[in-house]
Amino acid sequence: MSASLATTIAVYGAAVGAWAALSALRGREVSRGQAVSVAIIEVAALGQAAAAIAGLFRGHEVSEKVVLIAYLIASVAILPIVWPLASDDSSRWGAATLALGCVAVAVIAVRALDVWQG
Amino acid sequence: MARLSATFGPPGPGRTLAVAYAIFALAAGARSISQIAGDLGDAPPLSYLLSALAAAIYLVAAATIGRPEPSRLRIARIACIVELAGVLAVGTYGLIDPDALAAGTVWGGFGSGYGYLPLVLPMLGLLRIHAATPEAGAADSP
Repeated sequence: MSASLATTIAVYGAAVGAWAALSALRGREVSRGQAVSVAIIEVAALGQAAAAIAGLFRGHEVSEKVVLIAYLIASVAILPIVWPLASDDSSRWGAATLALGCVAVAVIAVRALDVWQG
Repeated sequence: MARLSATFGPPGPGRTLAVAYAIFALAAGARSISQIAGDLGDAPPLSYLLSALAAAIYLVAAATIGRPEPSRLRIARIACIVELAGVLAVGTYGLIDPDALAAGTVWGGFGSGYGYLPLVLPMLGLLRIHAATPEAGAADSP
């Protein structure tokens, strides 16, 4: 796993989460720009998960493998579940839902790296 | 989308809360797996039982709080009350005995390790359930 990619996902995820939270506070629904941003986070999360799986197959040792795999699944599954729920809701609550999903992916990126580094 | 709506409920604040609960179920679940798989020897059983209990309650709340059916909202209300009582009890116990076993759970320190959301979430949940329950609305009107 790449520490710089984890940091990128964390910072970008938090930023898009803050953007969505601001939209929610202003009473706006999710926007096209947020859709693009979510897709970028998802691609980065997929890349990180692929790197982790490759590393595990190459023999990288982690003490909490089950937790790491749970985090990896969550890191790639959350946005594909949250985005349809958020975009289907044309009120501010759609943006609030998206904010939760983005922040969760950001936190999980950091936690997964913690577990990876032991 | 239909299946997601069936789980998290129709658009609105209830769905947002259901998603929040699902994320917390994941956080508490990961914590309990980590405690059970990790230092089972030295971690007091109560601390990982509490994490597992918290995860189960969050899961129940996630599956019920966004739904409009009164039967589901009744279950969600119970889940929120148990959760609130749990956060308050574990947090208070940690003040009395700082070395306590329960400090290693999501509910330790009133949820301070999770931005106090474990304390705030059940309160928001109860407000939302109150607003969404038809009987509660009728009881409020004169």
